[in-house]
Amino acid sequence: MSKFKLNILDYVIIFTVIAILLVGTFLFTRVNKTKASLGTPVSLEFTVEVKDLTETSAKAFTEAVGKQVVYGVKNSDYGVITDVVIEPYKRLAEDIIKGEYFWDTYPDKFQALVTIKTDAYENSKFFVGNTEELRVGIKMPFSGGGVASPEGFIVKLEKTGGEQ
Amino acid sequence: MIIDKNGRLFGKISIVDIIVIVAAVLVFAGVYVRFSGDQGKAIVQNDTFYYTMEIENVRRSTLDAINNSVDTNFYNILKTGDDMGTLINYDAKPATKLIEKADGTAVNAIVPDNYNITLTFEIQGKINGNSYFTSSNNKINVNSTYGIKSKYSAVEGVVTSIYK
Repeated sequence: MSKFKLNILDYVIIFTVIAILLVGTFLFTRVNKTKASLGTPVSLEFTVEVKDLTETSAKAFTEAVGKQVVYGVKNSDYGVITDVVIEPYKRLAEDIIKGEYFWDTYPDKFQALVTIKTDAYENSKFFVGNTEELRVGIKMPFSGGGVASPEGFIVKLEKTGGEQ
Repeated sequence: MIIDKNGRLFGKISIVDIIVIVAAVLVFAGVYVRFSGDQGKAIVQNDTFYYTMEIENVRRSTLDAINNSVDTNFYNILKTGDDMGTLINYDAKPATKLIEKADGTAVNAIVPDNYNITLTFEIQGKINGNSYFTSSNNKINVNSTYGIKSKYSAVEGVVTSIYK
């Protein structure tokens, strides 16, 4: 049997594969919990606007008050729905005679302002739950308590308590 | 002969080996250039400059979050490490949007309850001749759109002026 000998090309390939594996491992296993270690624990309430609901769906959201939800995309951030406000689903309408915009509503459609309370962390750059950063203007999907919202945006954010 | 019958350059090293080694070097060089932030230009001067950014048609909650963000830093929405400067001032006006009237004329009509906001930033960046860069060597250009985030809000806007 001939001896297995490595030449320079083999070393290049081996080094490249090892480098790719190391970088890939680092990128995929790095956990954002390091964010949590950088902040002061706080209690936050954020409000998500959920649009285009039927009357039945809107009722389901009101019945979800007090239920636990998971929010964000990483399935590791939890909160509790503390309040739900239902209002008619608004749309921006045009009056082309007068040349004006006005807020109208879709018939028989509703939107919900869902307030979620969560334990989070605060530093100079962000508020963060376990892994998800929280700020007004970002999309924040959530689900739990029999309801879900894949498309809602945060419209309000406030601290409800300081260090725990 | 330059390449012998076995495909070896000057009879010594396989041409295939050379191609693979060159490809590997190019890959590593490309990764270095891509992730090192090196723009290929000599950035000669750390300096302070100012820029304004217009964000359009945002709701009251975003305006309130912007108000909370005065004298705080904003960052590139995709890279928290890329400092986009300190918000030193903002100017909010009622949002307007083009509407075409029934008679075919177009007017800029006010969108009720929404705002257009001009943000003014001070940034410790870099200047090279005619170009302005963040401290992470990312260009800031008039007429370019940037997603930025502060501790309280995330917005997208267009840079409208840059000055020292």
